[in-house]
Order: sequence, then C-alpha cells, then structure tokens
Amino acid sequence: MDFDTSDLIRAINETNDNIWLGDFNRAKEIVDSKLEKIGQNDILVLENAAQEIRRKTYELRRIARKNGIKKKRSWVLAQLFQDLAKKEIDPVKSITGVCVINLLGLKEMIGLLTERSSQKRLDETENNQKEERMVHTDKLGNRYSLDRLSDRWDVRAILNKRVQPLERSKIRKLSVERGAFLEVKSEGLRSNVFELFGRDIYAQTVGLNKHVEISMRVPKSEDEENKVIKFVEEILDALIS
Amino acid sequence: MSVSLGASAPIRGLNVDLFVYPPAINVGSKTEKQLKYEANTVITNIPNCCHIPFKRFSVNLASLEVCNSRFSEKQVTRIDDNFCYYSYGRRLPLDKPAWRAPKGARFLVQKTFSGDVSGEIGESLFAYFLIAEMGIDWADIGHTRPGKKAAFLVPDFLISDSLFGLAGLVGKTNYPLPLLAEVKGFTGKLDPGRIAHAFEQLKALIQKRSYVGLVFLAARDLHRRRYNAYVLRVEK
Repeated sequence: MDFDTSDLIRAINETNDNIWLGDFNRAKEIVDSKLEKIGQNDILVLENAAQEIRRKTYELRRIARKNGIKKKRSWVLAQLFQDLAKKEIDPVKSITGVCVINLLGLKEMIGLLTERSSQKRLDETENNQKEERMVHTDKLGNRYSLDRLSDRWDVRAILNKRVQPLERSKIRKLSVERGAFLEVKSEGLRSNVFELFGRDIYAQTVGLNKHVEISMRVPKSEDEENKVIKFVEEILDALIS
Repeated sequence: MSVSLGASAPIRGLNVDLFVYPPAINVGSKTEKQLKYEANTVITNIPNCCHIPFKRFSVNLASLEVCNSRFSEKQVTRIDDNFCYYSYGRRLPLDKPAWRAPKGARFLVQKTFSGDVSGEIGESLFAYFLIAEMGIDWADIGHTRPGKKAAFLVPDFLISDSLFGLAGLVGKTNYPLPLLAEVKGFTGKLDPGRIAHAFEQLKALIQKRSYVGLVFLAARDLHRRRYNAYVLRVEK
C-alpha cells in the first residue's frame, strides 16, 4: 500500500476551492470519491499511522515536562526520530495519514455547511433572508458564484484555464468595447490585477492562477443581476482567451 | 476572502530578492548541537554566498492577500497592508497622555511588530513565490501546518511539483515528491535556534526515503526597506 500524497493534496485543494466557491455538492463528491478510492481499511491504517506518531509525541512531551527538560522541542524531536528509526516507521505514511484526516475533517465540515445553508436562521425574515451563493457555469466551462453585498457584488470564479498575461488576453479589447477606462495595477505571467472604470460599471479583478475575485459595482436597477452576470462572463472570457 | 479595494497598487520598492543558499545541507546523522552549528554557519555565510539573487520580483499585494487567505495558518487579514508596514519598518503610533509617566515607567508610544504577522508574511510570500513566480499549480501546494499544531509529524508545506518546475531551485532535475518545506519569517535578525529547529523537523521526515526538504526564510531587510528570502536545501 503506497498512496500518492500528491493526489491527496490535489483533492484537498479542489475541495477547498469548491467550498470557497460555494459549491458544496461538488466538494462532497470530490471528498467521497477520494475516500472511496482509498478504501475503509486503508483509511484506518493511514489514520492509525498518523495517530501513533501523535500519541508518541504527546507521551514524549509529558516525559519532558515531568523531567524538566530544558530544550523540550528539540528533545522530543530527537527522541521521536530515534523511535521512528527503531520501529522502522515511515514518517511519510504519517503525512499521508494526516492528509486523509484532513479529508475526513472536510467531509464533516461540508456536512455542517450544507445543513446550515438548508436551515433558516432565527433572525431571517422573508425580507432580510440572505440569498445563498449560486454557482453558475458559463459557456466556456468556467464556474463562478455571486454574492450581493450591501454596496457591491462579490464574485468568485474558478477558471478551467490559467489566466493569460494581460497583453495576450482580450481585456484591453473588452475595455474599449465597453467604453471603460482600464487601469492595470499589476501584471505577471500567472497573475494580474486591474480595475475597469465605466459609465455604468466598476470592477476590480484579481486573477491568480485559475482563481479570480471580482468586486463589482453597478447602478441599482431591476435587471442588475443579469447585467452583473453578463459582465462577469465577459471578463472571465477575456481573461483566458 | 474579500478583494482589497484601493490597497492593491504596487508600491515602488516592495521587491523581494530570493537567494538560494549554495550547498545542500545534510542533516541525516547530525545531532541537535551539530544542527545548531550548521544553522549558525548558514547565517554567517549568507552575506558571502548570497550575492546574486535566484529571482528578483516585485510583490503584487492583492495577490499576496489571496495567498494569505488561502495558504497561511492564522486568521490575520490585510497582510498586503502589513507587508508594507513591515518592509518599511513603519510602526503605528499610539496615543500618549499629556502627563509624564511615573518614574521608572514609560508609555507605549508605538506598536510592536507581531510574530504572528511576520509568520503570516513568510507563509504568504512562500505561496506567492511558488504560484506567481515559479508557476506551480495552486492545487499542488498543501498546507499541513494545522496538523503540525495538533502534534502530527508533518512539515509546514507539501509541494507535489509533478512537472519539476522547481528543479532550478532544488538543484536536481528529478526528485522524489512531495517536496517538504518549512517556512520561517523573521522581523529582526535571523535566529539560528529557529533555523536549527526547521532542520530537526525535516530530519525526522526525510530519514526514510531520499526526500528533499526546503527551508524558506523570509527576512526583513530594514536597511534596504524590503524583504529578502533565502532557500536552504536539506537532504538526508
């Protein structure tokens, strides 16, 4: 049994990404499929490997405290190192175990988040009910969610490609088409930050790798949400094409 | 995670020089004392060995804040602001009463720099360097520090760099994955005790297989009003 820790790290990050986006169902799917792939028996073995080292660490800390050892941290690590070598325990198995424990923790957290989002809070009335983040998918497969705050729209997006450098992207073209002034704050190979100032829109965009955060302001109107969705999709499209 | 409005403009001078400490540090059979000696040697040698930076980059503060919200341990927000204050050594003033302090006592007139914040700067800067400068995929960086706090034996970061994008940094074209990394942030002088502790932790983890450990030191350079980062390579 030799698990790929890299695969687990990727699964944890993907789960966290989906929680950040507000897509709890997708996050749950990732965790469940990963745990299913590992199998119940191996989960227990890996968890035990991590817990065994943890128990040993606690025991050593207790001994260090009792004996008044001065450099406690170094002493505990040295003793632990000896113990691992003697018992031929592979510490990397323990790291994999910790990743599995993280996944199990995420599964529990998603359960709580889903439960909370399905319950109505006591202070919520028909008028002040907080809308949940709705996850949208555009025609290019980019996923994004919107949150209406008191003064702006908070948009989070996960792109299916990395953000392009600004000179290669269509952002400048978009700003001309929209008649908006583009102020580039910073641009790099995989990150860019810019602001768009238009007559009917303001958007600050932070793109890093495949993650985008947009803070957007539009004038209040009946079809405000549709306007925001349209503009968000235009920005996301311009960022990767 | 919120987009920081108005504070994202890059401020001139907020650059980071990243140096790679040339020799790999072998920790395999070294005792605690020898590791401390090794840490002291590193600190002594840094001014002589680290002249040409491996990478020189200016920090985009909005992206740094994204890295902070995603890859650092403590709930400290606006690391983009704090990064400016720490780099420039600018401390926030406190109100001082009109009367004189009693004999032998002094009023606190300026805030002190917090170790929690410098730790956050270190972790955010490390993630920022990997993602924005080295092109490592966000999904390949695992932050296991919470596990470490709960007494599990794990490093601060795991990097599963499957495309070997860090080959230049590690000094090898092929290495076992994941890479194990310890991050230390310093506001004052480099502390050999903390570096030695990072060596000890990596020593316990890389003993079995020939894993590569990285120690990332983010140190404020008050004279040049910037941050310097040092990468130490640790092997069995």
